Amino acid sequence: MNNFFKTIEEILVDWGRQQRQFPSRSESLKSEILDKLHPAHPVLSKTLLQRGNTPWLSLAFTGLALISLVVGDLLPFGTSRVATFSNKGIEFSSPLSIQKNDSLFFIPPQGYEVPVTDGREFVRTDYSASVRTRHVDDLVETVGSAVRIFGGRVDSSNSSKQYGHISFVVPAEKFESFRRSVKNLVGGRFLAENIYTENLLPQKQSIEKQQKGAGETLAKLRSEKNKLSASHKQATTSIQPKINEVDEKIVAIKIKLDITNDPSKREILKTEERRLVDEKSVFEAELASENTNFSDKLYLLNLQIRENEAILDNAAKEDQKLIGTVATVRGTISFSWINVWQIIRIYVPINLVFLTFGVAAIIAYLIHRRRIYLFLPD
Amino acid sequence: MDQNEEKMLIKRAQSGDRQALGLLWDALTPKLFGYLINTTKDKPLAEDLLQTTWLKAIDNLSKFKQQGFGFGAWLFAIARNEHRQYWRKRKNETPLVQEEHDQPDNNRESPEAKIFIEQALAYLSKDDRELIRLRYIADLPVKEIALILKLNFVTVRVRIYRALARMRAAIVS
Repeated sequence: MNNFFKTIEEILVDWGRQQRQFPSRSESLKSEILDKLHPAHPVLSKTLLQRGNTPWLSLAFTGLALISLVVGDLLPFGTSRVATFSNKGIEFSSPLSIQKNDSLFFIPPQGYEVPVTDGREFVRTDYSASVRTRHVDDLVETVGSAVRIFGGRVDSSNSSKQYGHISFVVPAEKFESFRRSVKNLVGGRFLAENIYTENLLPQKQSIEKQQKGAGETLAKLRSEKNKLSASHKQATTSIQPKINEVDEKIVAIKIKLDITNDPSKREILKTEERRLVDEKSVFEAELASENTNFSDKLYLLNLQIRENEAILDNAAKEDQKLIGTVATVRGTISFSWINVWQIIRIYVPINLVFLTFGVAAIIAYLIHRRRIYLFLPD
Repeated sequence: MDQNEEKMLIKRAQSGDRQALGLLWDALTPKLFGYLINTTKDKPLAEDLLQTTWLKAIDNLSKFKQQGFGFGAWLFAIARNEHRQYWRKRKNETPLVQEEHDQPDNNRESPEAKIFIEQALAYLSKDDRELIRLRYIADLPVKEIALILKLNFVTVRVRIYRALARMRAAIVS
Protein backbone atom coordinates (compact mmCIF):
# COMPACT_ATOMS: atom_id res chain seq x y z
CA MET A 1 0.00 0.00 0.00
CA ASN A 2 2.75 2.43 0.81
CA ASN A 3 4.29 1.82 -2.60
CA PHE A 4 0.95 2.55 -4.19
CA PHE A 5 0.65 5.74 -2.25
CA LYS A 6 4.13 6.68 -3.28
CA THR A 7 3.15 6.03 -6.85
CA ILE A 8 0.12 8.28 -6.48
CA GLU A 9 2.31 10.98 -5.04
CA GLU A 10 4.87 10.61 -7.76
CA ILE A 11 2.12 10.87 -10.34
CA LEU A 12 0.85 14.01 -8.71
CA VAL A 13 4.33 15.49 -8.51
CA ASP A 14 4.76 14.89 -12.22
CA TRP A 15 1.31 16.18 -12.90
CA GLY A 16 2.00 19.30 -10.91
CA ARG A 17 5.27 19.91 -12.69
CA GLN A 18 3.51 19.56 -15.98
CA GLN A 19 0.81 22.03 -14.98
CA ARG A 20 3.40 24.74 -14.51
CA GLN A 21 3.73 26.98 -17.52
CA PHE A 22 4.35 30.51 -18.62
CA PRO A 23 1.47 32.45 -20.04
CA SER A 24 1.40 33.04 -23.73
CA ARG A 25 2.20 36.75 -23.36
CA SER A 26 4.71 36.15 -20.64
CA GLU A 27 7.31 38.64 -21.83
CA SER A 28 4.89 41.54 -22.17
CA LEU A 29 3.45 40.83 -18.78
CA LYS A 30 6.91 40.55 -17.31
CA SER A 31 8.06 43.89 -18.67
CA GLU A 32 4.83 45.50 -17.51
CA ILE A 33 5.47 44.18 -14.04
CA LEU A 34 9.12 45.22 -14.07
CA ASP A 35 8.18 48.71 -15.17
CA LYS A 36 6.00 49.05 -12.11
CA LEU A 37 8.93 48.40 -9.86
CA HIS A 38 10.24 51.42 -8.05
CA PRO A 39 12.86 51.73 -5.33
CA ALA A 40 11.47 51.10 -1.92
CA HIS A 41 10.69 54.24 0.01
CA PRO A 42 12.13 54.22 3.47
CA VAL A 43 8.67 54.63 4.82
CA LEU A 44 8.11 53.41 8.26
CA SER A 45 4.68 52.24 7.41
CA LYS A 46 3.09 49.38 9.10
CA THR A 47 4.07 46.18 7.39
CA LEU A 48 1.25 44.03 6.27
CA LEU A 49 3.01 40.79 6.71
CA GLN A 50 4.06 40.50 10.25
CA ARG A 51 3.23 38.61 13.26
CA GLY A 52 0.95 40.74 14.93
CA ASN A 53 -2.56 41.54 15.09
CA THR A 54 -3.11 43.02 18.47
CA PRO A 55 -3.42 40.07 20.84
CA TRP A 56 -6.94 40.96 21.86
CA LEU A 57 -7.63 37.69 23.61
CA SER A 58 -4.49 37.98 25.67
CA LEU A 59 -5.31 41.59 26.56
CA ALA A 60 -8.84 40.59 27.50
CA PHE A 61 -7.57 37.90 29.85
CA THR A 62 -5.05 40.33 31.31
CA GLY A 63 -7.82 42.85 31.95
CA LEU A 64 -9.96 40.22 33.62
CA ALA A 65 -7.01 39.13 35.73
CA LEU A 66 -6.41 42.69 36.91
CA ILE A 67 -10.11 43.19 37.66
CA SER A 68 -10.19 39.97 39.65
CA LEU A 69 -7.11 41.07 41.56
CA VAL A 70 -8.75 44.34 42.55
CA VAL A 71 -12.17 42.89 43.20
CA GLY A 72 -10.86 39.63 44.65
CA ASP A 73 -10.89 40.63 48.26
CA LEU A 74 -14.47 41.77 47.95
CA LEU A 75 -15.62 38.32 46.92
CA PRO A 76 -17.35 36.34 49.65
CA PHE A 77 -14.96 33.40 49.32
CA GLY A 78 -12.30 34.96 51.47
CA THR A 79 -14.37 35.89 54.48
CA SER A 80 -14.60 33.61 57.34
CA ARG A 81 -17.46 33.94 59.67
CA VAL A 82 -17.89 32.25 62.89
CA ALA A 83 -21.27 31.35 64.21
CA THR A 84 -21.82 31.47 67.89
CA PHE A 85 -24.91 30.47 69.72
CA SER A 86 -26.35 32.82 72.24
CA ASN A 87 -29.68 33.67 73.79
CA LYS A 88 -30.52 35.72 70.72
CA GLY A 89 -29.90 32.79 68.38
CA ILE A 90 -27.01 32.39 66.01
CA GLU A 91 -24.69 35.37 65.91
CA PHE A 92 -21.89 35.87 63.49
CA SER A 93 -18.64 37.44 64.40
CA SER A 94 -15.34 38.01 62.67
CA PRO A 95 -13.03 35.11 62.94
CA LEU A 96 -12.37 34.50 66.54
CA SER A 97 -13.25 36.54 69.50
CA ILE A 98 -11.65 35.66 72.74
CA GLN A 99 -14.33 34.47 75.07
CA LYS A 100 -13.31 35.52 78.53
CA ASN A 101 -15.40 33.91 81.18
CA ASP A 102 -16.78 35.55 84.30
CA SER A 103 -14.22 36.71 86.81
CA LEU A 104 -14.00 35.14 90.26
CA PHE A 105 -15.84 36.34 93.34
CA PHE A 106 -12.73 37.97 94.70
CA ILE A 107 -11.45 40.77 92.58
CA PRO A 108 -8.20 42.26 93.77
CA PRO A 109 -8.65 45.83 94.87
CA GLN A 110 -7.66 48.62 92.55
CA GLY A 111 -3.97 49.29 92.57
CA TYR A 112 -3.20 45.94 94.09
CA GLU A 113 0.15 44.76 92.87
CA VAL A 114 1.56 41.30 93.24
CA PRO A 115 5.01 41.39 94.79
CA VAL A 116 7.74 40.07 92.54
CA THR A 117 8.96 37.76 95.26
CA ASP A 118 5.88 35.63 94.92
CA GLY A 119 6.64 33.44 91.94
CA ARG A 120 3.67 31.16 92.16
CA GLU A 121 1.47 30.55 89.12
CA PHE A 122 -2.21 29.84 89.18
CA VAL A 123 -2.90 29.86 85.49
CA ARG A 124 -6.43 30.02 84.21
CA THR A 125 -6.77 28.91 80.61
CA ASP A 126 -9.65 29.68 78.29
CA TYR A 127 -9.72 28.08 74.87
CA SER A 128 -11.74 28.97 71.82
CA ALA A 129 -11.46 27.60 68.33
CA SER A 130 -13.13 27.85 64.97
CA VAL A 131 -13.32 24.86 62.66
CA ARG A 132 -14.26 24.68 58.96
CA THR A 133 -15.54 21.29 57.91
CA ARG A 134 -17.82 19.57 55.45
CA HIS A 135 -19.33 17.34 58.14
CA VAL A 136 -20.50 19.64 60.89
CA ASP A 137 -22.90 17.25 62.65
CA ASP A 138 -20.47 14.36 62.83
CA LEU A 139 -17.58 16.51 63.95
CA VAL A 140 -19.52 18.12 66.79
CA GLU A 141 -20.36 14.68 68.08
CA THR A 142 -16.80 13.45 67.67
CA VAL A 143 -15.33 16.40 69.53
CA GLY A 144 -17.87 15.87 72.30
CA SER A 145 -16.72 12.28 72.62
CA ALA A 146 -13.12 13.45 72.66
CA VAL A 147 -13.90 15.78 75.56
CA ARG A 148 -15.31 12.90 77.55
CA ILE A 149 -12.41 10.62 76.67
CA PHE A 150 -10.03 13.17 78.12
CA GLY A 151 -11.96 13.28 81.36
CA GLY A 152 -13.82 16.46 80.57
CA ARG A 153 -17.41 17.53 80.51
CA VAL A 154 -19.60 18.90 77.73
CA ASP A 155 -21.60 21.84 79.02
CA SER A 156 -23.55 22.60 75.86
CA SER A 157 -23.68 21.44 72.28
CA ASN A 158 -25.60 22.56 69.17
CA SER A 159 -25.29 21.48 65.60
CA SER A 160 -26.96 21.77 62.23
CA LYS A 161 -25.93 21.15 58.64
CA GLN A 162 -24.20 24.52 58.38
CA TYR A 163 -23.11 25.46 61.89
CA GLY A 164 -22.28 23.88 65.20
CA HIS A 165 -21.07 24.89 68.63
CA ILE A 166 -19.79 23.09 71.70
CA SER A 167 -18.66 24.36 75.09
CA PHE A 168 -16.82 22.15 77.50
CA VAL A 169 -14.24 21.82 80.28
CA VAL A 170 -11.28 19.49 80.31
CA PRO A 171 -8.67 18.89 83.01
CA ALA A 172 -5.74 21.26 82.62
CA GLU A 173 -3.21 18.46 82.62
CA LYS A 174 -4.99 16.81 79.66
CA PHE A 175 -5.63 19.97 77.73
CA GLU A 176 -2.64 19.75 75.41
CA SER A 177 -3.47 16.17 74.48
CA PHE A 178 -7.04 17.18 73.83
CA ARG A 179 -5.89 20.05 71.61
CA ARG A 180 -3.68 17.73 69.61
CA SER A 181 -6.50 15.29 69.11
CA VAL A 182 -8.79 18.05 67.83
CA LYS A 183 -6.08 19.21 65.46
CA ASN A 184 -5.62 15.67 64.15
CA LEU A 185 -9.35 15.37 63.65
CA VAL A 186 -9.82 18.48 61.55
CA GLY A 187 -6.41 19.29 60.09
CA GLY A 188 -4.36 22.32 60.97
CA ARG A 189 -5.46 24.38 57.96
CA PHE A 190 -9.10 24.22 58.95
CA LEU A 191 -8.60 25.11 62.58
CA ALA A 192 -8.12 28.54 64.09
CA GLU A 193 -7.38 28.63 67.82
CA ASN A 194 -7.24 31.21 70.53
CA ILE A 195 -5.85 30.42 73.96
CA TYR A 196 -6.21 32.95 76.71
CA THR A 197 -4.20 32.48 79.89
CA GLU A 198 -4.20 34.50 83.05
CA ASN A 199 -2.25 34.06 86.24
CA LEU A 200 -4.73 34.22 89.10
CA LEU A 201 -2.06 34.87 91.69
CA PRO A 202 -3.52 38.27 92.67
CA GLN A 203 -6.84 36.57 93.35
CA LYS A 204 -5.12 33.84 95.29
CA GLN A 205 -3.24 36.33 97.39
CA SER A 206 -6.41 38.25 98.01
CA ILE A 207 -8.12 35.09 99.19
CA GLU A 208 -5.23 34.22 101.42
CA LYS A 209 -5.25 37.70 102.89
CA GLN A 210 -8.94 37.41 103.55
CA GLN A 211 -8.49 34.05 105.15
CA LYS A 212 -5.68 35.28 107.36
CA GLY A 213 -7.57 38.38 108.42
CA ALA A 214 -10.75 36.51 109.12
CA GLY A 215 -8.86 33.81 110.99
CA GLU A 216 -7.10 36.29 113.22
CA THR A 217 -10.29 38.18 113.91
CA LEU A 218 -12.10 34.97 114.68
CA ALA A 219 -9.45 33.87 117.12
CA LYS A 220 -9.57 37.25 118.82
CA LEU A 221 -13.34 37.13 119.07
CA ARG A 222 -13.32 33.66 120.50
CA SER A 223 -10.77 34.69 123.04
CA GLU A 224 -12.91 37.64 124.00
CA LYS A 225 -15.89 35.35 124.32
CA ASN A 226 -13.98 33.08 126.62
CA LYS A 227 -12.84 36.01 128.69
CA LEU A 228 -16.35 37.31 128.86
CA SER A 229 -17.70 33.97 129.98
CA ALA A 230 -14.99 33.69 132.58
CA SER A 231 -15.57 37.16 134.00
CA HIS A 232 -19.31 36.55 134.07
CA LYS A 233 -18.86 33.34 135.89
CA GLN A 234 -16.56 35.02 138.31
CA ALA A 235 -19.03 37.85 138.82
CA THR A 236 -21.99 35.55 139.35
CA THR A 237 -19.90 33.37 141.61
CA SER A 238 -19.05 36.33 143.78
CA ILE A 239 -22.57 37.80 143.91
CA GLN A 240 -24.68 34.70 144.44
CA PRO A 241 -23.15 33.66 147.74
CA LYS A 242 -23.79 37.15 149.04
CA ILE A 243 -27.41 36.82 148.05
CA ASN A 244 -27.57 33.44 149.69
CA GLU A 245 -26.00 34.80 152.85
CA VAL A 246 -28.47 37.66 152.99
CA ASP A 247 -31.28 35.19 152.42
CA GLU A 248 -30.14 33.15 155.36
CA LYS A 249 -29.96 36.22 157.53
CA ILE A 250 -33.44 37.20 156.48
CA VAL A 251 -34.68 33.74 157.33
CA ALA A 252 -33.00 33.91 160.74
CA ILE A 253 -34.57 37.24 161.50
CA LYS A 254 -37.95 35.93 160.44
CA ILE A 255 -37.56 33.06 162.84
CA LYS A 256 -36.60 35.44 165.59
CA LEU A 257 -39.62 37.60 164.81
CA ASP A 258 -41.82 34.58 165.13
CA ILE A 259 -40.57 33.80 168.60
CA THR A 260 -40.16 37.39 169.90
CA ASN A 261 -43.10 39.29 171.31
CA ASP A 262 -41.18 42.25 172.63
CA PRO A 263 -42.21 45.21 170.52
CA SER A 264 -38.87 46.97 170.81
CA LYS A 265 -36.95 43.86 169.82
CA ARG A 266 -39.41 43.18 167.09
CA GLU A 267 -38.84 46.71 165.80
CA ILE A 268 -35.12 46.22 165.75
CA LEU A 269 -35.56 42.87 163.98
CA LYS A 270 -37.91 44.38 161.37
CA THR A 271 -35.45 47.21 160.74
CA GLU A 272 -32.72 44.64 160.24
CA GLU A 273 -34.97 42.63 158.03
CA ARG A 274 -35.71 45.66 155.86
CA ARG A 275 -32.04 46.45 155.63
CA LEU A 276 -31.24 42.89 154.62
CA VAL A 277 -34.00 42.88 152.01
CA ASP A 278 -32.60 46.09 150.56
CA GLU A 279 -29.17 44.61 150.53
CA LYS A 280 -30.51 41.52 148.82
CA SER A 281 -32.24 43.71 146.21
CA VAL A 282 -28.97 45.45 145.52
CA PHE A 283 -27.20 42.15 145.08
CA GLU A 284 -29.97 40.81 142.89
CA ALA A 285 -29.91 43.95 140.78
CA GLU A 286 -26.20 43.61 140.46
CA LEU A 287 -26.59 40.03 139.38
CA ALA A 288 -29.32 40.90 136.92
CA SER A 289 -27.22 43.68 135.48
CA GLU A 290 -24.27 41.35 135.16
CA ASN A 291 -26.46 38.78 133.37
CA THR A 292 -27.86 41.39 131.00
CA ASN A 293 -24.41 42.74 130.24
CA PHE A 294 -23.12 39.29 129.67
CA SER A 295 -26.02 38.40 127.32
CA ASP A 296 -25.60 41.51 125.23
CA LYS A 297 -21.88 41.17 124.91
CA LEU A 298 -22.17 37.48 124.20
CA TYR A 299 -24.75 38.12 121.51
CA LEU A 300 -22.51 40.66 119.79
CA LEU A 301 -19.49 38.44 120.06
CA ASN A 302 -21.38 35.45 118.63
CA LEU A 303 -22.60 37.61 115.77
CA GLN A 304 -19.12 38.73 114.95
CA ILE A 305 -17.83 35.20 115.28
CA ARG A 306 -20.50 33.95 112.87
CA GLU A 307 -19.67 36.72 110.39
CA ASN A 308 -16.01 35.88 110.42
CA GLU A 309 -16.72 32.20 110.13
CA ALA A 310 -18.83 33.01 107.08
CA ILE A 311 -15.99 35.06 105.63
CA LEU A 312 -13.60 32.18 106.20
CA ASP A 313 -16.06 29.77 104.67
CA ASN A 314 -16.49 31.92 101.55
CA ALA A 315 -12.75 32.37 101.25
CA ALA A 316 -12.33 28.61 101.40
CA LYS A 317 -14.97 28.18 98.72
CA GLU A 318 -13.34 30.79 96.53
CA ASP A 319 -10.03 29.12 97.04
CA GLN A 320 -11.55 25.84 95.96
CA LYS A 321 -13.11 27.53 92.99
CA LEU A 322 -9.80 29.07 92.01
CA ILE A 323 -8.06 25.75 92.29
CA GLY A 324 -10.84 24.20 90.26
CA THR A 325 -10.49 26.89 87.62
CA VAL A 326 -6.77 26.42 87.40
CA ALA A 327 -7.18 22.69 87.27
CA THR A 328 -9.55 22.83 84.29
CA VAL A 329 -9.64 24.52 80.95
CA ARG A 330 -12.91 25.95 79.73
CA GLY A 331 -13.35 25.94 76.03
CA THR A 332 -15.68 26.57 73.14
CA ILE A 333 -15.43 25.40 69.57
CA SER A 334 -17.51 26.78 66.68
CA PHE A 335 -18.02 24.77 63.53
CA SER A 336 -18.99 26.03 60.10
CA TRP A 337 -19.52 24.25 56.82
CA ILE A 338 -16.94 24.85 54.08
CA ASN A 339 -17.43 24.45 50.34
CA VAL A 340 -14.93 23.08 47.83
CA TRP A 341 -13.95 26.49 46.51
CA GLN A 342 -13.09 27.65 50.05
CA ILE A 343 -11.00 24.51 50.58
CA ILE A 344 -9.06 25.28 47.41
CA ARG A 345 -8.55 28.84 48.58
CA ILE A 346 -7.11 27.56 51.84
CA TYR A 347 -4.60 25.36 50.07
CA VAL A 348 -3.83 27.92 47.37
CA PRO A 349 -3.87 31.22 49.20
CA ILE A 350 -3.37 33.39 46.12
CA ASN A 351 -6.32 34.65 44.23
CA LEU A 352 -7.21 31.71 42.00
CA VAL A 353 -9.32 33.72 39.63
CA PHE A 354 -6.42 36.08 39.04
CA LEU A 355 -4.08 33.14 38.55
CA THR A 356 -6.42 31.45 36.07
CA PHE A 357 -6.87 34.58 33.98
CA GLY A 358 -3.19 35.35 34.20
CA VAL A 359 -2.23 31.92 32.90
CA ALA A 360 -4.87 32.16 30.18
CA ALA A 361 -3.47 35.56 29.15
CA ILE A 362 0.04 34.14 28.89
CA ILE A 363 -1.11 31.10 26.92
CA ALA A 364 -3.20 33.27 24.58
CA TYR A 365 -0.22 35.54 23.99
CA LEU A 366 2.12 32.61 23.29
CA ILE A 367 -0.37 31.13 20.82
CA HIS A 368 -0.75 34.53 19.22
CA ARG A 369 3.00 34.90 18.84
CA ARG A 370 3.26 31.53 17.18
CA ARG A 371 0.66 32.42 14.64
CA ILE A 372 1.77 34.17 11.54
CA TYR A 373 -0.86 36.27 9.93
CA LEU A 374 -0.79 36.61 6.23
CA PHE A 375 -2.37 39.91 5.41
CA LEU A 376 -3.34 40.60 1.89
CA PRO A 377 -3.17 43.97 0.19
CA ASP A 378 -6.46 45.54 -0.82
CA MET B 1 15.44 28.50 -5.57
CA ASP B 2 16.06 28.12 -1.87
CA GLN B 3 14.91 30.44 0.89
CA ASN B 4 18.13 32.37 1.19
CA GLU B 5 18.29 33.06 -2.52
CA GLU B 6 14.68 34.15 -2.52
CA LYS B 7 15.32 36.39 0.48
CA MET B 8 18.23 38.06 -1.27
CA LEU B 9 16.27 38.57 -4.48
CA ILE B 10 13.38 40.12 -2.60
CA LYS B 11 15.69 42.51 -0.82
CA ARG B 12 17.23 43.52 -4.08
CA ALA B 13 13.82 43.86 -5.72
CA GLN B 14 12.65 46.02 -2.82
CA SER B 15 15.58 48.32 -3.50
CA GLY B 16 14.47 48.55 -7.12
CA ASP B 17 16.56 45.86 -8.77
CA ARG B 18 14.60 44.85 -11.88
CA GLN B 19 16.83 41.92 -12.60
CA ALA B 20 16.13 40.43 -9.21
CA LEU B 21 12.41 40.88 -9.76
CA GLY B 22 12.77 39.30 -13.19
CA LEU B 23 14.36 36.25 -11.61
CA LEU B 24 11.52 36.03 -9.14
CA TRP B 25 9.05 36.25 -11.98
CA ASP B 26 10.79 33.44 -13.81
CA ALA B 27 10.83 31.23 -10.75
CA LEU B 28 7.28 31.78 -9.55
CA THR B 29 5.14 32.59 -12.58
CA PRO B 30 4.97 29.03 -14.00
CA LYS B 31 3.69 27.70 -10.68
CA LEU B 32 1.32 30.60 -10.22
CA PHE B 33 -0.05 30.47 -13.73
CA GLY B 34 -0.35 26.68 -13.65
CA TYR B 35 -2.27 26.97 -10.42
CA LEU B 36 -4.54 29.67 -11.82
CA ILE B 37 -5.19 27.71 -15.00
CA ASN B 38 -6.13 24.63 -13.01
CA THR B 39 -8.35 26.64 -10.73
CA THR B 40 -10.18 28.83 -13.22
CA LYS B 41 -10.12 26.51 -16.24
CA ASP B 42 -9.94 29.73 -18.23
CA LYS B 43 -6.65 30.89 -19.75
CA PRO B 44 -7.55 34.53 -20.34
CA LEU B 45 -8.92 34.78 -16.83
CA ALA B 46 -5.84 33.09 -15.47
CA GLU B 47 -3.64 35.60 -17.26
CA ASP B 48 -5.67 38.51 -15.93
CA LEU B 49 -5.46 37.15 -12.43
CA LEU B 50 -1.75 36.55 -12.85
CA GLN B 51 -1.23 40.15 -13.90
CA THR B 52 -3.41 41.52 -11.10
CA THR B 53 -1.60 39.36 -8.55
CA TRP B 54 1.84 40.52 -9.58
CA LEU B 55 0.81 44.15 -9.76
CA LYS B 56 -0.57 44.03 -6.26
CA ALA B 57 2.54 42.27 -5.05
CA ILE B 58 4.75 44.92 -6.64
CA ASP B 59 2.70 47.77 -5.13
CA ASN B 60 3.13 46.30 -1.69
CA LEU B 61 6.57 44.85 -2.12
CA SER B 62 8.17 47.40 0.17
CA LYS B 63 5.94 46.24 3.01
CA PHE B 64 6.71 42.58 2.59
CA LYS B 65 8.77 41.00 5.37
CA GLN B 66 9.79 37.40 5.25
CA GLN B 67 9.03 35.87 8.61
CA GLY B 68 8.41 32.15 8.60
CA PHE B 69 6.96 32.05 5.10
CA GLY B 70 8.17 32.74 1.59
CA PHE B 71 7.32 35.29 -1.06
CA GLY B 72 5.66 32.51 -3.02
CA ALA B 73 3.18 31.79 -0.26
CA TRP B 74 2.26 35.45 -0.20
CA LEU B 75 1.90 35.57 -3.94
CA PHE B 76 -0.43 32.55 -3.95
CA ALA B 77 -2.46 34.03 -1.13
CA ILE B 78 -2.95 37.21 -3.18
CA ALA B 79 -3.86 35.09 -6.21
CA ARG B 80 -6.48 33.14 -4.21
CA ASN B 81 -7.92 36.34 -2.88
CA GLU B 82 -8.14 37.86 -6.37
CA HIS B 83 -9.80 34.74 -7.66
CA ARG B 84 -12.30 34.77 -4.81
CA GLN B 85 -13.12 38.40 -5.44
CA TYR B 86 -13.63 37.65 -9.11
CA TRP B 87 -16.05 34.79 -8.38
CA ARG B 88 -17.89 36.88 -5.88
CA LYS B 89 -18.84 39.03 -8.76
CA ARG B 90 -19.56 36.09 -11.03
CA LYS B 91 -21.14 33.85 -8.37
CA ASN B 92 -20.45 30.78 -10.38
CA GLU B 93 -17.91 28.07 -10.71
CA THR B 94 -16.99 26.95 -14.17
CA PRO B 95 -17.86 23.25 -14.57
CA LEU B 96 -15.27 20.77 -15.63
CA VAL B 97 -15.18 21.01 -19.44
CA GLN B 98 -12.64 19.04 -21.36
CA GLU B 99 -12.15 21.56 -24.16
CA GLU B 100 -10.97 24.17 -21.71
CA HIS B 101 -8.20 21.89 -20.59
CA ASP B 102 -6.34 22.13 -23.81
CA GLN B 103 -2.81 22.79 -22.81
CA PRO B 104 -0.23 24.80 -24.67
CA ASP B 105 2.22 23.04 -26.87
CA ASN B 106 4.88 22.66 -24.23
CA ASN B 107 2.69 20.36 -22.18
CA ARG B 108 4.36 16.97 -22.17
CA GLU B 109 1.47 15.18 -20.53
CA SER B 110 -0.67 13.03 -22.70
CA PRO B 111 -4.35 13.97 -22.78
CA GLU B 112 -5.34 10.54 -21.44
CA ALA B 113 -3.10 10.83 -18.42
CA LYS B 114 -4.25 14.39 -17.80
CA ILE B 115 -7.94 13.40 -17.86
CA PHE B 116 -7.21 10.41 -15.63
CA ILE B 117 -5.84 12.71 -12.94
CA GLU B 118 -8.54 15.30 -13.42
CA GLN B 119 -11.18 12.60 -13.04
CA ALA B 120 -9.49 11.38 -9.89
CA LEU B 121 -9.47 14.95 -8.65
CA ALA B 122 -13.19 15.20 -9.35
CA TYR B 123 -13.79 12.69 -6.55
CA LEU B 124 -12.33 15.18 -4.12
CA SER B 125 -14.08 18.08 -2.49
CA LYS B 126 -13.40 21.62 -3.63
CA ASP B 127 -11.19 22.27 -0.60
CA ASP B 128 -9.19 19.09 -1.13
CA ARG B 129 -8.61 19.96 -4.75
CA GLU B 130 -7.29 23.30 -3.62
CA LEU B 131 -4.90 21.48 -1.29
CA ILE B 132 -3.64 19.28 -4.10
CA ARG B 133 -3.06 22.29 -6.34
CA LEU B 134 -1.15 24.20 -3.72
CA ARG B 135 0.88 21.14 -2.86
CA TYR B 136 1.75 19.81 -6.25
CA ILE B 137 1.37 22.64 -8.74
CA ALA B 138 2.44 25.54 -6.51
CA ASP B 139 4.93 23.22 -4.80
CA LEU B 140 4.39 24.94 -1.47
CA PRO B 141 5.39 23.30 1.82
CA VAL B 142 2.58 22.15 4.12
CA LYS B 143 3.37 24.91 6.61
CA GLU B 144 2.82 27.65 4.03
CA ILE B 145 -0.33 25.95 2.70
CA ALA B 146 -1.68 25.99 6.28
CA LEU B 147 -0.86 29.68 6.49
CA ILE B 148 -2.62 30.49 3.22
CA LEU B 149 -5.71 28.45 4.06
CA LYS B 150 -5.66 29.58 7.73
CA LEU B 151 -5.66 26.02 8.94
CA ASN B 152 -3.65 24.07 11.45
CA PHE B 153 -0.48 22.44 10.10
CA VAL B 154 -1.56 18.97 11.25
CA THR B 155 -5.01 19.43 9.72
CA VAL B 156 -3.49 20.17 6.36
CA ARG B 157 -1.23 17.13 6.47
CA VAL B 158 -4.09 14.85 7.42
CA ARG B 159 -6.35 16.22 4.72
CA ILE B 160 -3.68 15.79 2.04
CA TYR B 161 -3.18 12.21 3.21
CA ARG B 162 -6.91 11.53 3.08
CA ALA B 163 -7.22 13.18 -0.32
CA LEU B 164 -4.55 10.88 -1.69
CA ALA B 165 -6.36 7.89 -0.17
CA ARG B 166 -9.61 8.94 -1.82
CA MET B 167 -7.88 9.36 -5.13
CA ARG B 168 -6.42 5.90 -4.78
CA ALA B 169 -9.80 4.43 -3.99
CA ALA B 170 -11.30 6.26 -6.94
CA ILE B 171 -8.62 4.94 -9.27
CA VAL B 172 -9.00 1.37 -8.00
CA SER B 173 -12.76 1.48 -8.37
